[in-house]
Amino acid sequence: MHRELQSLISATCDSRATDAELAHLAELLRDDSAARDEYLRYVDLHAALSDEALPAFVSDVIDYRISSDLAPAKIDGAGNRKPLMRWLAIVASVAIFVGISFRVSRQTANKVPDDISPSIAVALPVATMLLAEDCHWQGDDLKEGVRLRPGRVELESGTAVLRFDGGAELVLVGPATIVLQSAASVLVHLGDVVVRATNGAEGFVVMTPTSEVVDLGTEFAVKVRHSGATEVHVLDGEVSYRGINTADELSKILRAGEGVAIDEEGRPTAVPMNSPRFQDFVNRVNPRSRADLLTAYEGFNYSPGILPLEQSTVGKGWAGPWRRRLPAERKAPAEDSSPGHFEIVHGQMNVTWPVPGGRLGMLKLPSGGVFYVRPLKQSINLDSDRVTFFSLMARETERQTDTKPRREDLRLTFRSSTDYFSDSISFGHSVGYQPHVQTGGGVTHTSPMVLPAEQTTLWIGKIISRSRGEDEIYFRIYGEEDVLGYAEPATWHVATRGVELNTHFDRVLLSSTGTAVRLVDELRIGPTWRSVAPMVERNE
Amino acid sequence: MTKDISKFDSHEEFMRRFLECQRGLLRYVMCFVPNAHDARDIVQNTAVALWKKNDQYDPSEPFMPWACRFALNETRLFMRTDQRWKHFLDDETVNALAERRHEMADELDERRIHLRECLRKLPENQRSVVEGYYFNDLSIEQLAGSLERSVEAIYKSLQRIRSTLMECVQRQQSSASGIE
Repeated sequence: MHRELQSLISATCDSRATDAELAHLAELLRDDSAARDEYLRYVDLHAALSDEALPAFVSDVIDYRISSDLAPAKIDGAGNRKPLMRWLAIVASVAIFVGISFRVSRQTANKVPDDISPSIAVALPVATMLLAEDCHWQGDDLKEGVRLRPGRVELESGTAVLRFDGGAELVLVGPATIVLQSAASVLVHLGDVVVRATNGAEGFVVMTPTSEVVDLGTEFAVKVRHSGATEVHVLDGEVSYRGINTADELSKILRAGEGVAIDEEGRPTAVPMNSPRFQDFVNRVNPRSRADLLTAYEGFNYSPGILPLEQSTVGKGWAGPWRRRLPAERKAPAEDSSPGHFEIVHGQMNVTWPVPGGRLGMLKLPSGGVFYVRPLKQSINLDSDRVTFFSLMARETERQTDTKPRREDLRLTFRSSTDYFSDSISFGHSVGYQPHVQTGGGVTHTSPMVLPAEQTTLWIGKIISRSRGEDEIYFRIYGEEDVLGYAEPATWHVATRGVELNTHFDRVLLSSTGTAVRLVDELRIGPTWRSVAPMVERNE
Repeated sequence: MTKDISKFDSHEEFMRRFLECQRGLLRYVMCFVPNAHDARDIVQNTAVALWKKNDQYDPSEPFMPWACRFALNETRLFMRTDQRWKHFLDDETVNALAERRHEMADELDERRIHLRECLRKLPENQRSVVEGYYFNDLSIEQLAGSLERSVEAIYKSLQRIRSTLMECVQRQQSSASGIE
């Protein structure tokens, strides 16, 4: 009994209990006072560990008025910011925002807060800009792919799509003013937004000067006028809503096909549902490929046969042809037996994505260790605030499964010519064929997902560099069955933590080791998802 | 209609009071929703709710019990709407747990002091699991990858570690009480 109870509580703490196990535990807690005592002791121990609130730790209280340089965020020996402290900072920012918005809501409804606290500027990002079409912003130019911290976003014109880290997606149609509050809430001061919050994103909150709308698993539109008057239209599922000064328990439910107008005093009136759907806005934008933005491109567009390396000069954005590693660039292995030529083949990939490449010229990498370097014309500067995407198509011709694990991998590594061996970012897969990202110093971030065997795969990586603070690196490998969206995915196979690099990458290293023969093609480097990812375009 | 004058001298004062008690709130909320990420969300929602009703706060009363009432409401709201937790505890059980937790407050505080000592006694391999999962906030999958173990092995390891710590804390407490 004791062991069974602990097992149930343990599974619940780790969020892996099944519905049946949760129900069983609930039954025990309802009927058995001894089980309640044991449960409370167990979860308090778990909470103590989660919270780091053990007496050994100093109970820091963040003063939100001090700058990021002085904020008492704990940094451990490896330079990682402790998660609890991140959380504290987020909570502080949220509360500050609410404070601001609440004051405003009591004043004339059309005033927008100007006194954004310093702490907001240093809070962690809560959303990603997925799509920005013909957008003119008040303030910083928010480009696709950028991470957005809590704060005010003013769109003068155009259409933008944001994805909150909690999973909700929001279409913003200018002119509009919103305040990102947290990964699961937004304040709309003015304008039209459509929210799609499903598949775990339920509970997303939209505040307006006169009302609060809570998503209950749905798609809905919110329109806010200068006066603060708000309309809510439910396109799918249902939402709960209430006037800003109404008690929580007086919230009302609005269902699909229904609409409500809430006036400046918070009084609701039913109105006909009248809003385009989320997808309608995306279709209207008709996101197209932005290959014109590519900073580097290699399509191996050569005739089939042997190509001396010095003749590998086509492509875009390169400062020279491919070459073997220089002696100073070799560490492991110290000897380089890579052939001094490429073997170019045609039509050996199964390309399931709408991409022009991958059919004619492609590079066939022989078995054994081969390493090739190509210099970039425009370096990727990790000491500046920018976003860089890359994509690469690769095919594994065979997978060895009958022997013990050994090194069989393909990697794309970004390095610096001035300091080749210190900082680097390497995208590839582990011995177990799991996507991973390695950063300088040998820190590896590995996905639990195993790559599909002997398929053509599409690798897409994203590097968010910052002049100050942690960089973010994401990586996903698409199999032949996977479909790519109009924007970057909500989930990546690898997302790094605690990485802070400041180098300038101006070398691309392509390496293949092991006994397998591999094919690669379509290496693209650009500033947005749309510049590197194959896009399905609709003809208008 | 809300009043125009907050019971707090300033927003800073509210923030100070809230930040002082937010760890306690997290601890409290995790009694009902023992997943740290979900509980943090609930505490965030509590911050929002507290500020919206800050004019109802009576400064002569301690802040924490007032905040706990809001946290409990927010927990109930979260449990009603969250797919995972909505079938977990009914209102009656939540009330019973809240009441019992109040009675056990001193005991739980004392156990945390013993936990510190027990953590020190953990062998190195178990400490690395605790540090990765709890202190560095790694996912089970990341931890499994970095320790080159299976996901299931990490889950089992966490269960074993918590059982070990529970037993150790119990022994320390009994010893301190002169029972052993």
